[in-house]
Amino acid sequence: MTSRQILQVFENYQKARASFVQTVADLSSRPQNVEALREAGVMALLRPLLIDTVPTIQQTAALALGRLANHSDELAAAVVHDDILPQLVYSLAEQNRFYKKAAAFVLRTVAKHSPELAMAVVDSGAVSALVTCLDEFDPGVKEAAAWALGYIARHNAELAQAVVDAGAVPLLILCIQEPEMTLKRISASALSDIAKHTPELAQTVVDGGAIAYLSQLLEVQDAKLKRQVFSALSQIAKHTVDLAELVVEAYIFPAVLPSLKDPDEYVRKNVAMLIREVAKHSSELAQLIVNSGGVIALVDYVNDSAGSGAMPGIMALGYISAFSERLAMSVVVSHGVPALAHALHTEAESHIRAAAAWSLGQIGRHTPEHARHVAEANVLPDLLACTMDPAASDDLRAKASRALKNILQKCTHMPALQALLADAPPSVLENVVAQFAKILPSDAKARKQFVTSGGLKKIQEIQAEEGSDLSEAILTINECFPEEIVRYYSPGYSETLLQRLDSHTPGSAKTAS
Amino acid sequence: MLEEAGTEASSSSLFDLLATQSARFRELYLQAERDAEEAREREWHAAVRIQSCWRGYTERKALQRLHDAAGTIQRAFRGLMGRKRFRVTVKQQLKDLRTNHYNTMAARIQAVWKGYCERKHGLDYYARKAYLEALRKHNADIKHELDEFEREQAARRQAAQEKAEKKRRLRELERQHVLLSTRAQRGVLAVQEKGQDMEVTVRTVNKLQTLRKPRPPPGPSPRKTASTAAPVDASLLYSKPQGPFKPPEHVVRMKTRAPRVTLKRAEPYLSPVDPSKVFERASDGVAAEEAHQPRFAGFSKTHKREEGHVQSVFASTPYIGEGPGDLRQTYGRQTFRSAEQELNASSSTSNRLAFSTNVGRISLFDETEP
Repeated sequence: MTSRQILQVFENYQKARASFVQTVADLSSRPQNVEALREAGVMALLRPLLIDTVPTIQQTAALALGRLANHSDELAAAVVHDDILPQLVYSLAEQNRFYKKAAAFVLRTVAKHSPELAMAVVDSGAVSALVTCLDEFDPGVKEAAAWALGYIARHNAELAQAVVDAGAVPLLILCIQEPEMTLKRISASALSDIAKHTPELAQTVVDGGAIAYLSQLLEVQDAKLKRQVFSALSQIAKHTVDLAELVVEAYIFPAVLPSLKDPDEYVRKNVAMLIREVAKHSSELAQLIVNSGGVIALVDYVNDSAGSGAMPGIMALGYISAFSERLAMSVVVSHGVPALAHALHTEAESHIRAAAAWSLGQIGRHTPEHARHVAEANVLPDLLACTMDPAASDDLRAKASRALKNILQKCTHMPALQALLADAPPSVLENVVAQFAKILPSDAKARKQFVTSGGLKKIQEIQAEEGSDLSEAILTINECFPEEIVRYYSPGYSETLLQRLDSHTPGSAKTAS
Repeated sequence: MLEEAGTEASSSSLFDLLATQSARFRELYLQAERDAEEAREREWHAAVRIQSCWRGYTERKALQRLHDAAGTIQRAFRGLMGRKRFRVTVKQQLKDLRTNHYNTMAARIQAVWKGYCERKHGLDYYARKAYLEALRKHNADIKHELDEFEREQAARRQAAQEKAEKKRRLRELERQHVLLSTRAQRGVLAVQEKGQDMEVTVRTVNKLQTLRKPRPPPGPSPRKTASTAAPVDASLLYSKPQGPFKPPEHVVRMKTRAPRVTLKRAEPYLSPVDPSKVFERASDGVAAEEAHQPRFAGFSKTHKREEGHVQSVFASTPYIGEGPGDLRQTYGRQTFRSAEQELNASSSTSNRLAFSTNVGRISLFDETEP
């Protein structure tokens, strides 16, 4: 009788603990409750529950802790300061899979906030414990461990190196080959986070054979997995030519191109990033992309997408056309110029417009033919507006003015040049007039057209300093025309004519006097 | 003067003379002495003058001779040097003249050669035009394929959605069946949705039938055409047994699909790819794959022995041009370098090309030869 009563007490206590921890876990799933929970001293109460005798209570406590740390970085720091991490790390090796999952969740939420917190997680020895969890049979545990490792590695190269040193890469690559989609997705994401920092880390990932497995996943249906796969490939390819060539040698072109039409926006963006990272290294790689039809796909992508999604596509087009006139011509033939011009004209954000201006400058700087194509898309007024816009960012203004100069130095398209003559600032005007000084001496038709369209009049109205390049160019232009025409179009010519009328007396009047 | 006096004295008597004339002689003598004394100074000076004139004359004469001699020597020497210098100048001028001439001629030859070379191998207008034309065509193909792909994907998504919707609706109908469910629903005679004969559908729906294979409701249902139907209706061959087994379509697919055992995706990448086959279609996927892939490519060792290792994309094919449509010869390109040892080794046996690529041509997407 008495022993039953005694047991009843314990049972009540256990029920109370279970209900408490369950309630706290439920409450902490909402961010607005976190502050109140923290003030009520939830950390101090949860900590002993982590080493409770009942596994369910332990797991739920860990879950609550993870949710709390997920919502606020202060509580994550509190987890570090209260020395909960060593306890978690210890139990990662010892406990059952449910608890492992919860502990990995806590580690992940602590590590996600800042490099310092992630460093604290690494210092507590969690990385090697998490790596052993990657060896676990249960996919849920693997998933949680891979997720935590990815969050640790994403902050900086040092942390990523710590993860690599613990031997995580081969196990993550094994995880990619598992059938579970979520596990594949999270391991690809972790590999991407590891590879993004330095060429050495990317090389480590490549040495583990990641590219072969990632390239097998290019045509899966799952959009979220595709995002991570493309992100990982682009993070690998971005560092050096060699790595980019290794990625290309997995025959990803043209297999990635259909993904530019994916319904998921981030998949499309990551594919465009991958193409950009591959294209930027060498002209051979850029030519490979052109040959595989990548440029037309990119142009379609730029046309279809708006906002920051279009950015990698725009930059990829710029990188491709920067290498040689042949590649730039390929972009022109693929209708790249109108797409970029549209982006420059309509985009709201200044960094995207800056990228579009830069890309157009890269296309137009090769030969007069390229410059003509760019000028015919009516890009120059837009570029000029960008350089003169006081609201534009410095970067946009600098990029637009450099692109404008690059294009103008090759441009021989008369209508576009004349349009600029009206309202260009002196720095641009210099280039425009210099182009006229190059064209007019050798082209009779252009001279006539120049006079009739009023270009010569505008040239005479320019106030140029003596001895500057501008005045020399004006002099060269004036030498192409007869003196009377030049004088006729000079400002103030009517006054001089009237003065001559005043001083002139007709012949009959002379003889009379 | 003394002698004259003497002779005069001898002619007259000597003594008289001596006596009378002694004083006169003395006088004369003294006179003579005085005159001599007076003239001495002058005569001395005259003598000096004469001597100085003579000596000056001779000295000047000697000096003049020396000057003349020096002038002769200098004239001769300077003449010699001048002639030498002139000779050098003339030689230099001639050399310059020749060099200029040769340079002009060389430039003319080089201009002709460079122009020829550039037209032949470099910026060849026609090759460039062909390249751009081919690229345009290729772009159009790819764009068409991508649009087709997108449309297909959209259609597939739409179909899946419709299928889910239909399933949901059948479930709903099934629950409305009088004998299976007592759930209150709209009346049979209520206004129906677009063209759905609700009463007929409710009557014909059968629980088991729905679980196995949803039958389309009679009426204006879209009739399946022959082309879209699968070649073998899987449900005729296999019926799904009760329990956690795979559906019959899946079983048929598993039985007929080609094995995929390699890690690398076994694509026929060496031959030019027909753009229509780049993106695998759902309709002809299985059959096309079977036709193109060598069976058991991953296991076969003979296959390995023939093919050697799998080469890089960059080195797999002879580099003919720089892209699709570029069919020019390879000599003289930037991307080519001579391979001397190969020339030496092969010149005796066969007349293979002495130049080889360092970057292979990527013929993945070239035009297919007819």
